[in-house]
Amino acid sequence: MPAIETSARQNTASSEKVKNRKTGFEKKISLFGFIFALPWIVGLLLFQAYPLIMSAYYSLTSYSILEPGEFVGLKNFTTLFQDKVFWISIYNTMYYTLIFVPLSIVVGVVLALFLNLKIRGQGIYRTLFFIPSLVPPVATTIIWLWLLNPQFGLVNYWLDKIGISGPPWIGSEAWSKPSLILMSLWGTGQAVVIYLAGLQDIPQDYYDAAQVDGANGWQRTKTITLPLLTPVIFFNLIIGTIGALQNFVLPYTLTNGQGTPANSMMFYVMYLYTSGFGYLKMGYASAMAWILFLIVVILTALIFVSQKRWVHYQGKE
Amino acid sequence: MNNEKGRTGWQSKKLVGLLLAAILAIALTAAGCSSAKPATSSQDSKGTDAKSTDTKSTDAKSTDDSSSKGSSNGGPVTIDFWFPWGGDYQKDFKANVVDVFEKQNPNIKVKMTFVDTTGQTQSSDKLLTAIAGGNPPDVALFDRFLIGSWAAKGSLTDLTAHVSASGISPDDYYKGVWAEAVYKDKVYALPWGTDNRGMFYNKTLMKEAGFDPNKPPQTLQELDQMAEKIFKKGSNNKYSQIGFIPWMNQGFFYTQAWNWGGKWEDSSHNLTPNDPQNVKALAWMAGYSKKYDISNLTSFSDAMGQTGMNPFWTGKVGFVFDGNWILNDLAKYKLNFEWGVAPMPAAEGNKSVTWAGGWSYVIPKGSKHEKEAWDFIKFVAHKEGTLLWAKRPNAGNDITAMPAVNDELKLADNANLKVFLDLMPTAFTRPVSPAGSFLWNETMRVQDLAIHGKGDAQALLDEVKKNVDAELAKQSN
Amino acid sequence: MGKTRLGTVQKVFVHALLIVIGACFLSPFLWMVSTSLKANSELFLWPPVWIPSVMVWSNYPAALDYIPFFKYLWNTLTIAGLATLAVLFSCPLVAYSIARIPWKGAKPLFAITLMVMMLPYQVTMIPIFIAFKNFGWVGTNIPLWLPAFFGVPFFIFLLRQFFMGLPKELEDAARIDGASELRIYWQIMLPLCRPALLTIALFQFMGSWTDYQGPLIYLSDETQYTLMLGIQSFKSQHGAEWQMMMATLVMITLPIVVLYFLVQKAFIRGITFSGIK
Repeated sequence: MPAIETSARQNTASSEKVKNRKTGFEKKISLFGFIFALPWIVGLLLFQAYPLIMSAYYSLTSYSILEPGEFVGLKNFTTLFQDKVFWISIYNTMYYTLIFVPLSIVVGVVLALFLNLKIRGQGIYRTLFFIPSLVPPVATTIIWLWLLNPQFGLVNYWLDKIGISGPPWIGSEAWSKPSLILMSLWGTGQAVVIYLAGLQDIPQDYYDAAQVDGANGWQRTKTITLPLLTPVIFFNLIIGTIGALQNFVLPYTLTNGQGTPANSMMFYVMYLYTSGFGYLKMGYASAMAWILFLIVVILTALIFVSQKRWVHYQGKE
Repeated sequence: MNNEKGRTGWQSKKLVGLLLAAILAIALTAAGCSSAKPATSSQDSKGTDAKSTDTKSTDAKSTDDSSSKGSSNGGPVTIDFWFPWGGDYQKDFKANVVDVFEKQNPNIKVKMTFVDTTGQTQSSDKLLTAIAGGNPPDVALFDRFLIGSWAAKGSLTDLTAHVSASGISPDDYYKGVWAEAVYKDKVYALPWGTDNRGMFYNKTLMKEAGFDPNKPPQTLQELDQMAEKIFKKGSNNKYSQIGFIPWMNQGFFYTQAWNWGGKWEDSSHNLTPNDPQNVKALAWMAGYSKKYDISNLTSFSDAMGQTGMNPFWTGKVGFVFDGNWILNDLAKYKLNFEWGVAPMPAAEGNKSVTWAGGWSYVIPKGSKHEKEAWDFIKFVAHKEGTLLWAKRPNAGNDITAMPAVNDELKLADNANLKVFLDLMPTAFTRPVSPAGSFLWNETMRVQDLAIHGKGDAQALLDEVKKNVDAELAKQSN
Repeated sequence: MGKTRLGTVQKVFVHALLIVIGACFLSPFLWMVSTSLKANSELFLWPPVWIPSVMVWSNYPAALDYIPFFKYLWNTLTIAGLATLAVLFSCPLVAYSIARIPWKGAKPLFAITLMVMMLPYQVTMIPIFIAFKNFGWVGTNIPLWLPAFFGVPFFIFLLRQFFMGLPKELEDAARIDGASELRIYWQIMLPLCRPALLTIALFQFMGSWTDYQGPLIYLSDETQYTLMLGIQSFKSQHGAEWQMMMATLVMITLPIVVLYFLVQKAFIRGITFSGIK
């Protein structure tokens, strides 16, 4: 039975009648397609395209909402490039992204490899690692604030026990971002689930073949599992990077919006939010939003381009 | 296959073109609409499609309705009052002041809402967002010092007419305190309460270190020497007790600059963050962080801070600069050490100084009940409300913004409080400027940098001066 | 590594490793529960104690008095409920149109949907705020659920993947029988994708439940606060009373954990679907 699509396409030479009937059906179906998609088309226009354009427009103005805006050309951008806090926030965000994202992939993949082993209590272990990712971010910060208290916290107590003098964590400039990365890693359970699904997608034949070749466990992991898991890693890399660049709730609730100490927790989106809603510099904040957009596009594009070098899709060699 | 690709490619281009056209059309109409008055029509349209399910929005709607009715029919009006103070304030203020006000004004109900401070000042991003969003509270308890910058932004209601109509005189308040409520000759707030800073010292620790506990340091140099003897480390090489940390609690760089004889504005109201004495003060603060190791100090004060208790009251701190309000904590704690309070030491050859801050009541721009809000402010922040609040049973150590009320309350009879009260007439207040809170944030920023050893005091403060001037230029444009 | 058989030594090693790491993952959670049951005097004990000498269950009812918990709960449920209904209405419609209806707009629309998934929320945040402000909706919960009625790109993507996996013969046969598109959608397709619908409903509900930035910007009146705003306000108002805070945290986290155990399958399915093309 030919698909309707294809049959509709080879109609150039057929008779008028058939053509009419077919275009009639196409018209009807197009109408339905359009109507079904209408909420989203309207949504795209109202909540994506319109704000995107307005945001570009605001970025060229000095606008506080309370008073009418004023067109200032590229001044917001030139001011931004001279704004030290802007650069600090970029540094902090990159620091976080470049350390957290790779780390979360390593931790996620390693955990998934272990959780994929056929051992007793597999289900319990999986649940164990997944539960923290269910804790709301606001709650996460409060729990960790308590755990990482340098004087009364559980973490430094444990470190103390194994003979390490614990760092001041969130209170210190050098340790605040590592603390944040630690907190974020606590919630990697979701990624583990994705990797596990990816692992289960790898056909058993590959392993059987390797077994015949006499490859040991690690060799099989290296030559079969990891390469075939790369599409999933690739996906997590993109999602993780975009998410990390937008890091907001954890540092904001942790420092009550201040980014202390010494701006070491001032992340890009936090500074954007502070500029916009803390100082009502909507133009300035919009300029920052567009720069963020560009950064996201560029990084995503880079990852996509790199894909050819390291991502292996099954069936393609 | 290729053919098909080409076709969809072309079609998607066409589609993008269509999309863009549609967006432009929408953008233009929306820009045209945005000046239209929003409330009435949109509220109605929303009511029809979400009436049964969305109780919250109907709530919001009904308060709006009742308020508009309120002004026409004379039914009770509810004014929304935001405050950033935690603890017992809500309960106490309601019982001692708001209830009395509501009794006297049966037509006005006051709804109190706690909204925490965020960002780097004593105000709240949320308050500003609500003002910008066109849905502000009617009254806010507001850090007086921010009035300049917020008024310059157009986010506060001008109260000048109300003030002159009601016969309130600037002389009712301390001079510096009133000045903080005025920006460009217009009154934006009524001052309410004031405070200033002194030095709390731990007599027990002083004795242990071999000093006469009844002779607190008079100069900063003496303070340095005494503090040094009190620092003590525990077994894990962390501080178990602290002599003095210049930036602990109220020891902001702002405070220390005045203690060093520095200044923040010159006689013609130019801001002077890089005054030579200010530079010395910042360098002195940075000296402490170097000498006593900043991460070790931070770990101590963080651990203290996160317990929620004022570090001084733990008995592990020798000296601290803090406000008169911490005397209020005494009711809560049983202390196992002896302590005293004195004016903050000054640099050699200078007299002890302090600076006063405090709070005020403002009407955010866009309040829907300006008249009722003013009635409320006038009540709470003038003599009647001030007295009611100051007379509450657990008010012991507050200083009101009205000298006459302080006299009536005989505050000077409280020896601890008298230290602060006596400093009041000469107390500095921070410059009122559109860049006021910007300057404050900048000082906090460079303080943070300086004590973390990032940059030298002179360079940092020159940069502050440059930034502040740029900010002012931006504001005046 | 699929069906690799492990030796006993290896098994013991793997178990030991998983137990140690698992303990690290679980201990913050347990510490929260433990703290929530402590008396004020045991909070700052050194060394820390895991099991309180007296279980202070009364922390829970007491914590309810610190913030108007049930009011915030109701507010949160209202928003989460409306947003969930909204995505259940809009997303399958759109996904069906993109995945199963052979019309010209389907492919470009799907491409745009994928692109929009990458658009950071912050880019559109300010203009949308200003637009909602002009409608007088700032300070109401409308901005927190209304947009969901117009589709959420990630969910559309997810459902589209699901629809693509259904056999093509389904609607072909129905079309030949003369069934209308609406009937095909409503009577054949929707029932088939019930599991996927459960998944997106769950995700939206959780998203609304844990959302912080949206309520932070749009809700100004304390009576409209969600639980997340409430707990943050709790923290700044009574930050030293850890046992009360932890009790509240347990109460806002527990519903999600319970939900997870109830519909574990939908959870895992949703997460895996998002990762596998």
